[in-house]
Amino acid sequence: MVTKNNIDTESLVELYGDYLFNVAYSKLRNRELSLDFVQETFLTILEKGDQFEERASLRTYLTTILNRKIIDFWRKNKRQATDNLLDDGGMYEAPDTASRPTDFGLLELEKQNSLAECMQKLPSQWREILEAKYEEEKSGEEICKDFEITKSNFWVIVHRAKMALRDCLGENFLS
Amino acid sequence: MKNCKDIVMIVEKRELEGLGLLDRLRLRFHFLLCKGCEKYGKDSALLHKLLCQQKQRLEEKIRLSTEEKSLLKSRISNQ
Repeated sequence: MVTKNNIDTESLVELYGDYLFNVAYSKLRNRELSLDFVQETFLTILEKGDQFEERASLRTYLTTILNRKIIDFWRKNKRQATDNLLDDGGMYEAPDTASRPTDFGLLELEKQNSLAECMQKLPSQWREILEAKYEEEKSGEEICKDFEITKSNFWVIVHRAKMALRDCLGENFLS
Repeated sequence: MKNCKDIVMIVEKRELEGLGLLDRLRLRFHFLLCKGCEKYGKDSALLHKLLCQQKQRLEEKIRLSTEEKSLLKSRISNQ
């Protein structure tokens, strides 16, 4: 359980601040806005830490919270953009696209967010093996050694994890 | 001839390590006969792409400055 009482905010920022800021900035391309979203993410985990079930890594959980907030922000701005296209003089104003994605970008972010959520639902070993392969870029041999599995086991786990992700994401999302 | 169980393992190997000519031909031939495996091959490739994109988004290594970290810590502590 993560609360203000059992984790100091300094550790939270030191351990996950750079990573979350990197994730936010890669989507928003604005430092100030990214900082705000990272702040909100930390505040959310401190307020709702009892909902963290520790089935997934805290980093994955924080990333999911952050991505959700960004999607909500974009959806809200997309609605407002169509309301605010006219300035007071009735002239069309080109929307500021610096931190707002295209519809395609929003769909891609939603896919990434759903993928992160589905990763969280995987059995821990499967998730850790996928993270070792895709995030840490370890070789199959290194992963087999770390997890004490055979190469055949490795392929089976990758296959089963992908089947589970496919089921979680749904056919429509992949098409 | 490889069965579907063997083929899906070859599909995974294709994404993560690449295949030699023989395995590539095996896949292509099997996909002609088995649409289920062909569909899985496409889904697996797309999942692989999504998983790679998650990693690529973090490649830029944008970091918080010392001042930004201090600001973040004080904002969180004061809430």
